Formats: sequence, structure tokens, C-alpha cells
Amino acid sequence: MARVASETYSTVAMVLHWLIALSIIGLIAAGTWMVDAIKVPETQGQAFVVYQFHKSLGLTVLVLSVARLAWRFVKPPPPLPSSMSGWERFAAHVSHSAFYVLMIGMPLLGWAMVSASPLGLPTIVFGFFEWPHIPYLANLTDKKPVEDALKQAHEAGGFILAVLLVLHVVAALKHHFVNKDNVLARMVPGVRAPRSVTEKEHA
Amino acid sequence: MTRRTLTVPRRWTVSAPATTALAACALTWFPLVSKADTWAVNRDASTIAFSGTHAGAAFKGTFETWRADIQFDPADLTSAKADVRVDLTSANTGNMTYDKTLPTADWFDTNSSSEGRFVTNAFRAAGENAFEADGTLTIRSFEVPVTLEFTFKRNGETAVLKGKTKLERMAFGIGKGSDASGAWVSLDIPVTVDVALTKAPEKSVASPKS
Repeated sequence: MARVASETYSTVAMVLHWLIALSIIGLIAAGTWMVDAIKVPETQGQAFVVYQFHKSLGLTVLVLSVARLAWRFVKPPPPLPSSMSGWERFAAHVSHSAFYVLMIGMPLLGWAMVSASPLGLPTIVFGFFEWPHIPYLANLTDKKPVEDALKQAHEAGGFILAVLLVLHVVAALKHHFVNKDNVLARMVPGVRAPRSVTEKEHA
Repeated sequence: MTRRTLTVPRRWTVSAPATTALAACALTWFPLVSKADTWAVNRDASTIAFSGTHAGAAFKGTFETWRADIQFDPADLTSAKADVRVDLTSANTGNMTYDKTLPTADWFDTNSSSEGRFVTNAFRAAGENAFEADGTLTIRSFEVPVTLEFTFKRNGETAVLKGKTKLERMAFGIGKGSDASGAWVSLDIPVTVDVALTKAPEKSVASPKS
């Protein structure tokens, strides 16, 4: 029995996509600002608060991304438009996979980094409950070099994520305005695909 | 958070017939030979507070659990003494990030010793109702001389003691690994005590320190 794939994303997938999207934008903005602001006495206090917020938001993305990945198996995403060429499909799959690797990997890296910090600052998720450190890293005798290495990886990951985000948005807009297919519309509530009407007429 | 309350033990002054008990007391760290008034702390109306700045922002905290043995008579300072024991795990700033950090190894290191203790028997007058007490404060096994400035106002069977001192946290190695220079957390930590006292009833038996 062939399974009929839906034309659009499910509400759950859309909600998760947009929550994660907003969080990632917030994380990149906060992360970029705070690493410098923490070094300036005038902004040190705010930066400390932003660090704590960044940690909470990152863990939120971790949870939401695992949920979204699980949801993909429950309800697979709609297929790519048949008009897309082989390399385009390949590029789409690679970038989407990379997103999942980063959406789950970046919070884990951040968590590892916080756990390996010689400061040993606890993570209180949005001020409500304590998220534990990773015991192995928290108990290292010489934490600093481990923290430094993880910090560099986290920073590099953030840069790759920002590039990927730009590509993702540009590609979505290209699908909508150049290819005039339903790729953007099926993820944005209230937006209709430019050619959806004509496609239906031909169907 | 469960709040542990330690009752303040009643401390008894000694009358003449209690010579045998007195001898026993003399062997303990806290000989009960004075004639100074003994005071019980009204814990609900008393506070030991600390403050400072972190990243430019002020913080305040209190210790929820502590006990104090106080013998004090403004007219007889030579026999005055105080022994204050503070449960360092009970530090409460209202900020969970701080409260989870304070007990860790680089700060109070409560796994090694959870008690801060101030002992003094060197009192002097410093003005009307004002006094100074030179004592020793022990935190994290560091014994540091500390002077407490305080006022003592007696009103019949009750009294109010308000005191302050300024601790240098690095003298106790507090936060040494995280921030030895004070770039984050102020090196000076003002401490205030606000203690409501009730005169303990006179007893004819001496009680050795348990």
C-alpha cells in the first residue's frame, strides 16, 4: 500500500521549525555579542545574564530538535518538487542534514564546554531548574585546555550554522520567487505557492 | 528549600556551689566562668547577611542557618565572649546561579567543611552603645583575624545587637581559582549582623559545652 505523502508540512513540524528558527537566530545574535561584551567592564553584567540565557535557549533547541527529528519519522516531510534537478535535491538533503547535525551538535558542544569550564558555573534553565554538568568533563583535573578546544569548535559551528542559515533562507526565497514552487509556502503559514493554482488546473 | 533551624542552646551562668562542674568546663574550649549576661538569640528576628558585586551588579545574601552563643555585659567587657557558627551551605542570595556556585570547591567548599565560625573574647568600647570585638573567623580552614564593629542596645530583658565588618574573600581563598583579581566578584564582602537577643534565665548549674 503506497503511502500518499502530504503536500505540506504538518502543524507540529511547522511549529517546531519556527520555534527552532527563532531560537537559532537569537542564539547566534546573543552568542556573537556576548563573547566580546563579557570582556568590557561596562557590559560585563549584561553579558553574564545573556550567557545564562544563551545556555537556556541552546538547551531548548536541543530538546526541540530531537523532537523534530523524531517527528520526521512519525510524519515524513512532503517530497521535494519534481521540478528540482538531481544536484539540487542532493544540496537540499545535505544542508538539511547539516542543520540537524548542528541543531543537536551545537547545544551538546555548548553543554560540554560549560561542563569543562574551570569556573564550574551551574546552568539554571531560564532560572527554574539546574541542568547538570557532564560528569566526566566536570571532573577533569585540567579543564582549561579542554574548554578552549570545545569553545573553538562551538564557535566554528556557530559560524557554519550562520552560513547555512543564510543559504537556507536564500534557497527558500529562490524556490518561491524564481522557481515559483511550493517549497517556501508549505512551511510558512498563510503563504500560498505562486503556481499552486495552475498546477491544480493541469492535474 | 527546606529550612533547617538550629535551636540556640541555653547557656548558663555559674553560681558558687557549682565548683565541680566549673572544673569540667575549664577543660572545654568555652569555659563558663564569666559573670556576663548570657543571651539567647531570637532567630526569627535575626539576620546574618553578606553582600558584594558580581559583574557590576550588586548582590545580597543571608545565611539561613546559624547559631550564636553570646555572653555580653557592657559593664564587664573583659568577660564578654561570642561564638558564632554559620552553616555555609545555607547561603541564600535568591539567585539560583549564585546559590549553586557558592558551595562548590572554589568558593565555600562545603564538602570539606560546611561551617564558618567566628570566635571572640576581646571586646572594647567604641562610643555610646558602640563596641568592637577582635576575633577569629574561620572559613575553609583559613583562620583570619576579623574585627566586628557593633552597637548593643539593651531594653530590659531584651537587646538588639547590630554589627558589621568587611571580609576580604581572598584571605579565605574564596573564589581563588575563578576570580582571584576581583574582576568579577568584589574582593570585599561586607557582612552585617542584626541580632535580637533575650536574656537567658539564670541557672545554678553549669553546663559543659556539648
